Amino acid sequence: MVHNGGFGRVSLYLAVRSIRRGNRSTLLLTILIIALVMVLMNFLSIIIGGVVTLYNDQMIDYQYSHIIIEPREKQTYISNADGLVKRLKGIPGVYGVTAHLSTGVTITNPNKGNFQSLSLVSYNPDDEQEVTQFQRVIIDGDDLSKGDTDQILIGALLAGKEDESLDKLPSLGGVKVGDRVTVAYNNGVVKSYRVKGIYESLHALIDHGAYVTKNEMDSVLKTSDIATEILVKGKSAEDAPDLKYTIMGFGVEEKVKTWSEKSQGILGDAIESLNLINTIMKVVALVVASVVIFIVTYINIINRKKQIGILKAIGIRKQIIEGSYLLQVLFQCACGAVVGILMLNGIVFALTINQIRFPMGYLVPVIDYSSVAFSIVLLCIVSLISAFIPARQVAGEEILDAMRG
Amino acid sequence: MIDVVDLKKVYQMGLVEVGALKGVTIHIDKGEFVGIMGPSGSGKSTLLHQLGLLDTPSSGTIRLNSTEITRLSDEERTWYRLMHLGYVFQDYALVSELNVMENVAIPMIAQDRPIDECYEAAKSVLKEVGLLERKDHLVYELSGGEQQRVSIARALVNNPEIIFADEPCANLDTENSRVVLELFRSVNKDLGQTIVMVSHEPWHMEYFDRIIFIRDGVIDEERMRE
Ligand SMILES: Nc1ncnc2c1ncn2[C@@H]1O[C@H](COP(=O)(O)OP(=O)(O)O)[C@@H](O)[C@H]1O
Ligand SMILES: [Mg+2]
Repeated sequence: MVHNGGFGRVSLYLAVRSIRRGNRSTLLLTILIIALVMVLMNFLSIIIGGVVTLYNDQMIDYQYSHIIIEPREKQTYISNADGLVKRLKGIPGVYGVTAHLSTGVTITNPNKGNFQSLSLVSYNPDDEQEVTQFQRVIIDGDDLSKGDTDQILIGALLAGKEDESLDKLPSLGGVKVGDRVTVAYNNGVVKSYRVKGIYESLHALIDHGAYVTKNEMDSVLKTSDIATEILVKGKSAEDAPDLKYTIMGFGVEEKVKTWSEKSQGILGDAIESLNLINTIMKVVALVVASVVIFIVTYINIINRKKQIGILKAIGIRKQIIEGSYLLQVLFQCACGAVVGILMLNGIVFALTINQIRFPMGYLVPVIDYSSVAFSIVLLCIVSLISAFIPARQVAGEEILDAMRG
Repeated sequence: MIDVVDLKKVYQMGLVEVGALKGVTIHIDKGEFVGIMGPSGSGKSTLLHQLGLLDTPSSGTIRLNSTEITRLSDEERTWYRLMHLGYVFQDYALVSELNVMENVAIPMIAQDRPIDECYEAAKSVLKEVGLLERKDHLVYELSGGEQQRVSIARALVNNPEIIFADEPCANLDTENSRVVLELFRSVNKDLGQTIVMVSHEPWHMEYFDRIIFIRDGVIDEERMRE
């Protein structure tokens, strides 16, 4: 005798008319609030995503490239480096390979007496320009070329400013292109170099470094055919894990790591605390959303109490009535999600036009659509629960009580 | 058709018990147009609510078409109201978010019948009550008398076994009251529709086949004999 028919259909019928003929401004306000909550839930992700991208790009462009190959277990150097570089260049999917040899030095600015201890890195300029981007960020002077012997490339932070109070890191106190600096190697060799170029990558670690050619360092250290690391550039950052396994498949016995494996520790802590703030913000936004949806649905339903009583009196099941309110909330969420995504894109657009400068460069805002999708799902669930409570309460009232309004 | 035996309804008002119905026994036949009359507060609405499954009595039995409705579950009562009963209330009780035709069609739509069929049926009853041309209007655009006719159309659309009407003319002027009463009479005569209507207007009596007088929650036997 009793049957369940028409649950979805009748609920939908009522919901559509409720939305169409109900209070327009309340509906728009609710949609706006849901949209704002969505923006709130995703805004920080956009910034964090942008910062991470910025860091990653810098690490790839100046420090690790896509793949970094390190000496075998318990070894300080990669031996037979030239042969390995040649082999790597022959692997499909490899766009560039460069070997670095580095050693601890103390660099002194003889004019002022400032000195800095650091790891001096050497590279082969022809190989290097296929892999990293130093040549693109030289702010004064020129990049190294293969034959350079008494020339050095130094970072803007290491070079420093004449007025040292403006320096972010301890520096050589304002070294310029054409100046000479003294480099004291660990093996006792002390040599004077002419500053050939100054680069600024905005990556603090890199900008506080210095480079000479590999030939030059080999001749000072009396080494040949060794490297401390080999960087490999592939097609893209995302393809790095595949390339790693390709390289390993070619029998490379040195440690092969992707840029992201290498950089995990560096950003990890900072990103983790940002992510924690992000999570807290999301939870707060969700709580706000659920309270707002609860209140809006509650007021909405209280105002329609008499109407609900009438529907029940003529024989409409309370589940159908509850369903119609849940469908209305789902509709609000759907509209809110669309408006929210539009707003997020607006924010990204605004941030693209008026770029925010971070210490390590200009932020590139990125919408993480998987996080957006997740926030929509969460928002829908929270909204449905918040709406269900008042809907159930009022739809469950005695008919005559409800009809009195 | 309707068999009520020793029906009682007691309202609990805090510590005080109010007996709204104190043992009512009545019988109504199929096709009758019955008026329930009595002074204000005598229990007319309360009786109608029990008969119409809108409320549950404290004790006694009600049989509608040999179904013992006091034994039905909540779900079954809801279904029974939808399938077998029609209602007309004093304040019209139309749904403001539905237009005229949708208001009339909704009890049929709730039975999960095809929408077109529901709208056709709604239009045909709207024609009967003379409001077909107002079918696309919103409820508040209609006068009280028109709204009450829409509500009668809604009560009719499912071909109910019984229509219950609680003072349907209380908010209407004499002219509109007459229109509504004529409508009930024609539905009763032409379709053999059983109607139970509460009223306290003496001039309505001429429309009823039979009148049940009620006073202080009991059938007023003296007036019945008149
Ligand atoms: N929900 C209720 N709670 C308490 N008392 C009620 C309630 N409904 C009706 N009553 C009381 O029951 C009696 C009958 O009321 P009612 O059936 O509405 O009378 P009528 O319709 O004849 O005017 C009245 O004394 C009224 O105060
Ligand atoms: Mg009454």
